[in-house]
Amino acid sequence: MDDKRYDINDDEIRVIAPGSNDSTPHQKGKGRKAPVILLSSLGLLILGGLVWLIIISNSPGEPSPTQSIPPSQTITPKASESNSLPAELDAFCKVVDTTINNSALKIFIPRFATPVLEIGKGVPNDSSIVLAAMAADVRGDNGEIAGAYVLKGNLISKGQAKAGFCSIINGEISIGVAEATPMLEQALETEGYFFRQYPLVVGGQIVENKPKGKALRKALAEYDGATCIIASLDRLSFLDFARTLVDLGVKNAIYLPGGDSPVIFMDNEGDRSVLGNLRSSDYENVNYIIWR
Amino acid sequence: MVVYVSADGNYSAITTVDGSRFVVTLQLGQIEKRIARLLDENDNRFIRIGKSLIVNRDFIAFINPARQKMVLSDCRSFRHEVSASKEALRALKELLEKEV
Repeated sequence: MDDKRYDINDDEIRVIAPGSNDSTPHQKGKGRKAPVILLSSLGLLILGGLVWLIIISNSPGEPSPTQSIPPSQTITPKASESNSLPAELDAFCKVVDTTINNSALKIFIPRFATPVLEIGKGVPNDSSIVLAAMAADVRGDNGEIAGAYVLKGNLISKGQAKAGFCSIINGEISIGVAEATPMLEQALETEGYFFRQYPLVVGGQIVENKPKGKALRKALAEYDGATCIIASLDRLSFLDFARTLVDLGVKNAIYLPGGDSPVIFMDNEGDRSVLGNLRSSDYENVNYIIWR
Repeated sequence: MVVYVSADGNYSAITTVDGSRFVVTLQLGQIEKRIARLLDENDNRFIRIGKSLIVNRDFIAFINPARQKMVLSDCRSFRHEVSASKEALRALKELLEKEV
């Protein structure tokens, strides 16, 4: 019966603890078992049917005293947190550091926050921002936003410079790749938001892009059931960055301006931090995807 | 020194640092019990991962949950690639990162 304590599922891990075998004399479980059995026997003798009734009335899921301390710690994976959470909770940005393929990444996951797009150099100074990063590229020749761009239902810029897109319709973010997408029309009709960028990952597959140089990269990505921003802390090519995202487990991702472009984020203590440089762009049309 | 033990039906295969691989007529659960019995106090180097694997954490060099791969190596003389579930590898990675 004690062998049940050694049961394990394929999605669990367990640190093997010394002396946790049921045959070892100093085992915790065994030491507790003897008095429990003795007490139970005495109880049965003295109280007879009453104890029997108590045993019967024990709920099936209730752990018995002998099972209260497992021999070793079993760790089951935590269910991923959902983005659709009660609105009354304070918004914050969860930051996760990880390393994939020897490339260091920072993952910024907004919690209890709603995304929008905003244009302007003063946007990063807004203290209500939970998470923000630059969204669409700005053309160097005329200072206009590259590709179709919709701000609260208004078409700010036209064109299809890049095949990747992000739309925000009624607070819901969609990331995808399409030369023509109904999400653009929906964004226009529902006072939503839309911008285009290079696609990096589609359906867990790498998308190849023309730029070959290496730089610090950023992406808007669907990862672990949430939409988040992922920044590389190493200089990577587009292809290497896309491969790293796929290896991380990202399903869909589009590029965001890289280099020293800022990621502004607020942790659960309310402390505000910036990765990158707040003055990295002087364009009037510098624009951001923001969670509040 | 043991690097990892993998289940092979009713048998288990023990791989050691010198590259030797022993197949023993014990199930992995029985091996786990024996390891637990032999360990010194505060020795927590062995980790059971799912139904099919016990690894020596001293040799965990790389974990890739998305690809369900883990590399066990001394970074010098041997390198073994083993598989486990994404969830288990994520939990393992989390555990090791917490302890850093």
